[in-house]
Parts: sequence; structure tokens; C-alpha cells
Amino acid sequence: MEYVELLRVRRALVSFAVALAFVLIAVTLVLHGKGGFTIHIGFGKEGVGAGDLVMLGGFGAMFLAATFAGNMPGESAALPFLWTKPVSRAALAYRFVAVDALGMAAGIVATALAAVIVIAGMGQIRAIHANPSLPGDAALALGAPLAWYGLTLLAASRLQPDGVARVGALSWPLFIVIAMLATVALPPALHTFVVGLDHLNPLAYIAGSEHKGIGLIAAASPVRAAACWTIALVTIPAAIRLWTAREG
Amino acid sequence: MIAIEGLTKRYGTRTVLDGVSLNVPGGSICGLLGRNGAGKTTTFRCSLRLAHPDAGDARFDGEPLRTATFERLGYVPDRPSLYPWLTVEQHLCLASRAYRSYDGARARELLATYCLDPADKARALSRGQETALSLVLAFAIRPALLLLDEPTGGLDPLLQRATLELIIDAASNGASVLFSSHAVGQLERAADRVAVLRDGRVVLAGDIEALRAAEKIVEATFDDGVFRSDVPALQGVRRWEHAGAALRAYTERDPDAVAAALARAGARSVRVLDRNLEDLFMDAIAGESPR
Amino acid sequence: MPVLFAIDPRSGVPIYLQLTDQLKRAVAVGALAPGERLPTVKALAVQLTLNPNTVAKVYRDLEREGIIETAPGRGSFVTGNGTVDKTRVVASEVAQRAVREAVREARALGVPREELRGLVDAEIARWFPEDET
Repeated sequence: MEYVELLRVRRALVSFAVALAFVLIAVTLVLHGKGGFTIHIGFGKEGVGAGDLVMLGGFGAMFLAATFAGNMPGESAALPFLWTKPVSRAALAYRFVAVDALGMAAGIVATALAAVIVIAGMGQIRAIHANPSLPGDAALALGAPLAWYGLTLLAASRLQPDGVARVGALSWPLFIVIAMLATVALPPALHTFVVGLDHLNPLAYIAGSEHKGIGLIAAASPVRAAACWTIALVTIPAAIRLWTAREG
Repeated sequence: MIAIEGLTKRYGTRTVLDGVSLNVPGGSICGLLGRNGAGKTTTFRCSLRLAHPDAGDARFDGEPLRTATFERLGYVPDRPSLYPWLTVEQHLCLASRAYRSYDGARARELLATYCLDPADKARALSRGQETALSLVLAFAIRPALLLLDEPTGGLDPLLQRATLELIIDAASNGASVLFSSHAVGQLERAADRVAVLRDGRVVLAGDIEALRAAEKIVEATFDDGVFRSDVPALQGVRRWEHAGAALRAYTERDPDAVAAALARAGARSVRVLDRNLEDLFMDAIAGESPR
Repeated sequence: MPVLFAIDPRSGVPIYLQLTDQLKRAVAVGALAPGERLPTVKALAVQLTLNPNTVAKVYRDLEREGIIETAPGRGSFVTGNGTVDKTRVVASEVAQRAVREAVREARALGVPREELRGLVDAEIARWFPEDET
């Protein structure tokens, strides 16, 4: 039955790949126009850490996260079809989540690959090197979109399809605004509140770094990954519980 | 066997179902009648836990509804529940992955019966074709339990007949069938049990033959239009009618006793007439006219 | 089975009785020959779009009256022994029911006995032109 979700995810990934292709071409053209570049990103080190590429992949997958999170709650018309089959509602939901997670992983790989292609196109492929934080970065790369997915799923789990679409669309501006507000000077009580909220913000985690003052949540990537995975592992089951209890 | 007991459902202050109970033994076809809004669809949904009943339960072959029950249960909802962007073939594919008991050859036979093109997307189907697809999906697993909410809605007369034949075939193999319909004529031939809902309550239910035997018209002709005053106080009479010199009693039980009582009251001739089932059902659906 | 049955759910007559009468009539006029095999309950139910329990009841009633016999595993057949007499009995039954209904109706309408007798004689003269009285 998760075959439906498989088809949907496949469709979304195709669109995503097309979008990536466009971005890839555009970036390449821009960089070519500037006469090539040498890579100085990676915060002072020469070259590009593979971990950073993977995190970029995670950032790309966040676009997919909000889309996928709307699929299950948006099923309301098909519930009489889905919920009268010899598959339990929870099993169905977890299978959907598994397909979505795989889709997001594919998104990470695709985005990272696109970045590698751009870099290779600049002849700078040797600038890429493995960095020690790669495992933590990889965990964060999947954790942050999953956290996004879980939070959106939880917010939308009881809504009707039009509400679901709105939640998905609002998630981006909401997370961006919270992240921005956390870096702005605010009255102490409000600041504490916003910073607290920011700790639920996957965007803040993926954009953060272990260096204080740059990025949003200051911690090593394994720590940030753990926080994201915790959010995901709390919100997803909660969302599934709410979803399976609705009226079909 | 399908056993529904005391289903009650409220939406806010509105009581949509009030203690609905009915029984469909194996091999039996039960027709569910009632006006729109009487609670037929809610009865199905609460039985299948698509809606949460406030009280009451539905048991299938003696057991409460379980995930495994759906392995042998076919359901056709009142409104088609399909994926608009998937084809007919893809829907069958979904079903084949979900059920162990899915019979692909049977499904293909049924597609042909209902003249469905496997390549058509669900959104391109007419209302009748959507119903037909839901029926194919339900019957492809050769279910022992069938819950059909308006299964002939939108179907042309030939396909309505084909659907009835499928239902009868299933019942003769021992399946329990509960189906709601506005086509009272279909019910009379195909069903052996009936339940009539009005405002969320069951107002008439049971074996159709038993109802026939109990619900009769006793027509008594009196000379010179003479009526004894104690006659209208008889037990077991739903309502009375005067038609010239004739007095008609619509019985709800024991028509022979009523006939005997009228004979004793001095009627010139008494006869017991069978009631047209359609009229009987219509009366129950609409509510008795006040006497 | 080439015989066609017309079931009218709208008449006040129960469906099982209609089917029983029509099967009896078929036997009486020879449309169903002695020893001829009837369709299975299931097949007849589907063919006529009638409830299987109804058809089963009809078969049971006909078997009880000796008009058909069921051999387990082989199906149901019109009885072969003494069918000439049996069909006569069946024919009489069907006719009697029709006559009963007609007379009762006439009585309820207030038709006097003598007038009714005259009506019956007229109909007999009409349908039995070479009547041996």
C-alpha cells in the first residue's frame, strides 16, 4: 500500500532533480562568468570538506521534507480506501515514513552530487577532501530534514488537505523568521523565548556550526545531529498516533 | 456474519445514530433502507471504525473488527475513495499488494463485466465507473463479508443487474452482505433481510418473509357501513383506513387474529391481503401517517 | 432450462410463491419434462436475481410435495414416476388457487351467488368449446 507513496515520492524526486539541474546550470554559468573561482569555503581551511557537501545535500533535502510531510495528512479522501485493508493504520503510516525518509536520503545524495558536478566543472575537484566531522555531518544532513518533516507532519496530522498545504507552505518562512530573530537583539524574556524556539528549528541546526558566533546553533555537528534526530524521533511517532486516530 | 449492536454516534448536539442494531447471518443479504441523512452511511462507517461510535459495536463472525478482518471484507463507500492520479490498473496493483486473497484473474473478469479500461486514470472515470472500480476491488478478493454503501449508484441498468448477480452469487457461497440502496425493487428480490432507518433509529427490521407474514392488510366489509366501536382498539394494528363500506387494518403482527376479531365483530366478509413490500418499506422510511 | 420465469415483486404475492407456482405450472404444461434437471439453487438465484434462500425454500417445498427430487451431488430433477397423475394434481392445485381467488374477490364485491355461477359457466363455455357436460 505504501506503493502510492513510492509513486508520489518518485514524482517529487523527478521534479527535484529537474530543479537541481537548473540550479546546477545556473550556478555553473554564473561562476564561469566570474572567471572561475578558488574555493575558500570550509571556514578558513583550503578546499571543501566532504561533510560540508553532505550538509548542503541535507539543506536541499529540506525542500523535499515539507512536501513529503503533507502527503499522509493530505490523504483524507483516500482513507476509506486505505483503512479498510488488512494493514494496520500504524504499519501503513510507518511504511509511508520509511518511503519518505528514503526519498529525503536520495535528495541529499542528488544535491551533494550536483555540488560535486559544479565543483568538477570548475576543475576544482581535488579541492574536496574528507573531513573528520563527516559522520556527524552525514547524520545531521539526514536528521535536519527529518526533524523538519516530523514537525510539519505533527502540525498537519489532524488537518484537512487545504490546511495541510498551508502548514507546508508556512514552515519555510516560519523557520527562517525564528532563525533570524534568534540572532537579533531583543528584550531578554522574548529573546530567551525565541532562542528556545530556535532549538526546535532544523534550519538553525543545519546552518549552525561548532564555532560560536557564526551560524545559529553553536555546537559540534554530532551534537546538532543528535538534537535533530531527537526532534524527529519524538514528533514522527506522535504525529502518527494523531493521524491514525482521526476519522476516515 | 455481521452483528451490529447498539451503534450510537453524535456529532456535537446532533444524534446521527441512536442505538442501531442489526444482524446479517452468513449466506444472507440484508438491505439497508432509509432517506438521505437517516444514518445509513454513518452505520457503515462506524461499523468499520472509519468513524468512532460513541457507543455500540460491530462484530464480524463473532469477533470485533481487527486488521485481519479486512482480509475477507469488501467495502464500497458511498463516495468513491480512489486516487485520481492513478489508473484503474494501478488501483488493482495496490489491492494485489495489500491482500493475500486477491484473485487477479477474477479482477480482470470483473473489469470486463463493468467495461473498465485498465489504462484510464481514476479522475477520467464517470461516477458510475468509479463505483464500478470500487466494486471490482471489493469483489476481487472473494470476500465473506460485504458492506456496500449504495453499490448501484450511477450504474446503468445492465450493470446494476450485474452487481446484484455478484451479490447473490457471493451470498450463495455463504457471504454475509449488507447493502444500502434506494432501489427498493432490487431489495425485494435480492434481499432476505431488511433494516429501515429513520432519524438514526431502526424502525423496521428482520427477515423479509417474516415481515410479509406479519405485515398484512385485513379488509373487512360491513353491511350498511356499521362499525362496532370496540373494533379500532385491536392489538397489533399499525393503522386503520376506511374505504367506503370496507375497513382496512394494517397489521404488524398476527393478521389472522385480527381477521378473526373483525369477523366476530360482525363483518360480512373478511379477507387478509398481502402487502406490497415496496409500500411497506416506503411507509417505514417516511414514517406512518398519523391516524 | 429453456423455461422463462417472470417474477413480479410488485404484486402482493410473495416471490417464493410466485416461483413455486410458475415451476408447478411449467411441470403441468410439460415445459419441464419428467426427469429433466433443474438448475442449481445458486445458478437459478443468479439467473433470476433472486435471493438464494428464497430459491432454496422453493426447491425444498417442491421436494416436499414430490414434484422434484434432489440427489446429493447430482442436482435436482423433476420427478419421473407417476408424473402424469402428478402433473394433473399440480394443475388442479394451480387452477384451484386461481378459482378461489376469483370467487373470494366476487364475494367481497358483493356479487350474488347465482350471478357468479352464470359468469363461471360463460367462461367455461368460452374456453372449452366442445364441452361434454
